[in-house]
Amino acid sequence: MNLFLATVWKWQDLRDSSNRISARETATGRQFILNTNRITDIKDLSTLTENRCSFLYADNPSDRRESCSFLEVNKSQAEMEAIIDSVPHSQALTLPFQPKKEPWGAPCFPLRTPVDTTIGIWSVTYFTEYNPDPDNYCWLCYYKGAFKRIEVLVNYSLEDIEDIVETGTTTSTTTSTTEVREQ
Amino acid sequence: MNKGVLFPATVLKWQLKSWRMVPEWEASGVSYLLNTNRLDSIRETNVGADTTMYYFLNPDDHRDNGDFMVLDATLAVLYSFIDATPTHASVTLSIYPDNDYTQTPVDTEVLTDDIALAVGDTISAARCWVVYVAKGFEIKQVLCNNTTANIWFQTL
Repeated sequence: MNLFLATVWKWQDLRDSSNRISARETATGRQFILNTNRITDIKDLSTLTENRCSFLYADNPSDRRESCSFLEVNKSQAEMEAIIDSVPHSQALTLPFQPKKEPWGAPCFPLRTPVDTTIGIWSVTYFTEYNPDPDNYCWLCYYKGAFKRIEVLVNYSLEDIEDIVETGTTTSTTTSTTEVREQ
Repeated sequence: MNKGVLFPATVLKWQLKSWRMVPEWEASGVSYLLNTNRLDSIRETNVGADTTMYYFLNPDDHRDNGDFMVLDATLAVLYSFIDATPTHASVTLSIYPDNDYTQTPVDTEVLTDDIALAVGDTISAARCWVVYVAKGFEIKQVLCNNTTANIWFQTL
């Protein structure tokens, strides 16, 4: 079981996740960090010019109501096999959860203090960019137990998450400019 | 069921069965044998000396919302157990039929992934209660002719 970064070109099913790839992202794809313990039926769609494969992805494999989503990503079948066989640095992740899923507080928009929370890698469904500030935040979707879906904002970028999964620490440094709204 | 590692811990608070898992008179907490595959949302408290979390008796049961728990253990200690690789994936429990300690116990093999908790019997130090998931939704609570230390050592 491991987490991996991939560019997703298609994410199709009957639920809201059909909107996870917006119309303007269909050409370039959108980056997600996915979990190998939710993947099945990998098929190679690679050509001479690009690596590509499709698979079925379960948001919650413990839910009997789950009907898997169809994904196409920028990995070949061989790459997926290597990822499935890889081992993360740790089976748990300590992430700074942003309170109220919102970086800003009130009044005068001071930054809210994130709360370090440790979860098991097995519960992670996906990470994806926080569009207003992707260099500093990302969305995490995970399941608490077998039923409860949790979506939280994490004070890390996707690259930071990738570093933590591989090495246990964030090795990248990011700089961001914060836009102060004038009243 | 995800892979789990059994580990000993002192539970200071456990919001299960109306907090009776840790009686009021046990000011220093109660020693339990817990399973890492049932931990969720771990946070440090008490200046890092303790940790809070949600603990699931059956993480595959959609009716289980998890119970609030406070452990007398640091996050680093929990990480070491979460990332440990046990030698054995199952343990042999000497289970008393009908939870009657006057009867002859029966050796029963149980997967460690299925064990939710083990706690010493207050009547006898040589026995303990074990709660494990017998697949699906069934949770079994059995009296065993083992100590929690003996169960833990079987996995090492």
